[in-house]
Amino acid sequence: MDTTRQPPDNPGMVKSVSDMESQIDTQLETPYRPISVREFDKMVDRGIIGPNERVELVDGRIVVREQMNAPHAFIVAQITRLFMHRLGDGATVWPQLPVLASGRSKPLPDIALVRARGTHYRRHLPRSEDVLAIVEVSDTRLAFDRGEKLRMYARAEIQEYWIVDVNARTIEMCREPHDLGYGSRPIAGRDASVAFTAFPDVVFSVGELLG
Amino acid sequence: MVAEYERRRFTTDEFNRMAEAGIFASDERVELVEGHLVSYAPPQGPLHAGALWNFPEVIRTGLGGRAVLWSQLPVIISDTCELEPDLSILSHREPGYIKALPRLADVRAVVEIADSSIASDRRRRLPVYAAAGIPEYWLVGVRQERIQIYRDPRGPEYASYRLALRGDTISFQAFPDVAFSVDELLG
Repeated sequence: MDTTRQPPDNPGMVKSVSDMESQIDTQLETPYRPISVREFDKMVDRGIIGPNERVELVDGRIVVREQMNAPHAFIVAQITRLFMHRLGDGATVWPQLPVLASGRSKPLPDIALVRARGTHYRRHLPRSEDVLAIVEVSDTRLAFDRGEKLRMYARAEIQEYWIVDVNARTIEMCREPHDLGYGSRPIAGRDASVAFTAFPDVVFSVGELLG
Repeated sequence: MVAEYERRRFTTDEFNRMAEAGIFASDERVELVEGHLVSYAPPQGPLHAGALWNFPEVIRTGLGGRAVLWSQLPVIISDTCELEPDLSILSHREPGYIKALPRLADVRAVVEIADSSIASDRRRRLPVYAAAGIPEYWLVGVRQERIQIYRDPRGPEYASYRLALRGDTISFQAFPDVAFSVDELLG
């Protein structure tokens, strides 16, 4: 080579032309291509995403749901049973099933409580306006459930979103959705009683829901 | 904060099936980087377009039939990485690249053309190319009229770097006997 100009502060390995530019580089976020529900469904139809994969679409991101360990599975079963028993025909309990939250979100909540609409859901998945409440049982991904997922549900105007914290044995009740999150997020401890805004007379104790 | 959720990653096979299924818009430039779908901003401006035309012209003239030039077309880098460099300098292969995309072993060098210095997202690709083992990477700054030449990939970095300016003469490591004038490349 007839001309060799090494960056002065970086004689060995080089990531970029100067330290300043390198620093700027690292601040650039990867421009992930967001996925729409339509595209996501097409991936499933074409078998690109397999039928047994536990994935959900959260704000354009295809997220792998966590492994269902015994405490998580048990609490989902417990809550499903109690909801069905106490709410009866007042609402449809929709456990581990997809919900259309927006054009870019098709989550697979642990339990959704949707408006009873006869056989309507035979042809149409519940949309956010059908959803009375969503419950996520959270053991290993509390920050995600309280972060990206919470914002997704809030933007979809899901009126009530409960986060069951398996480790703390509490339930965070998120209400009053707005564009950035929920206006009200009281946390009920293990001795408290809780009820959905839509069914104020149907009371559950945190202890029984957590089993 | 580090995200504690796991994005679904895709293989190049799944990625190509998505393209065949018409999941992406026909004019969209989507690439697969470490299993993730990534949209790099489409190249902007006449300087980029001009360089994208001129570089293959000059390089083809110099290399003659010794290499295949592949412009803004996909190259399979690994099982989870498929990129569309502005220009890939490929080895000749029988029966050519008509039925099967080029793979890493076919790539002698890649050239990316950036028409602004810091805002360019092209620089993001350096660690991707280096980690994949692309032997030579030229980053052309058309506005600054300079060509950064990176060689000898080691992990996510290149161990050898040279900055070429107007008046300089440069060549690809794979074709050391063919010299290109920076003036001619930049026009």
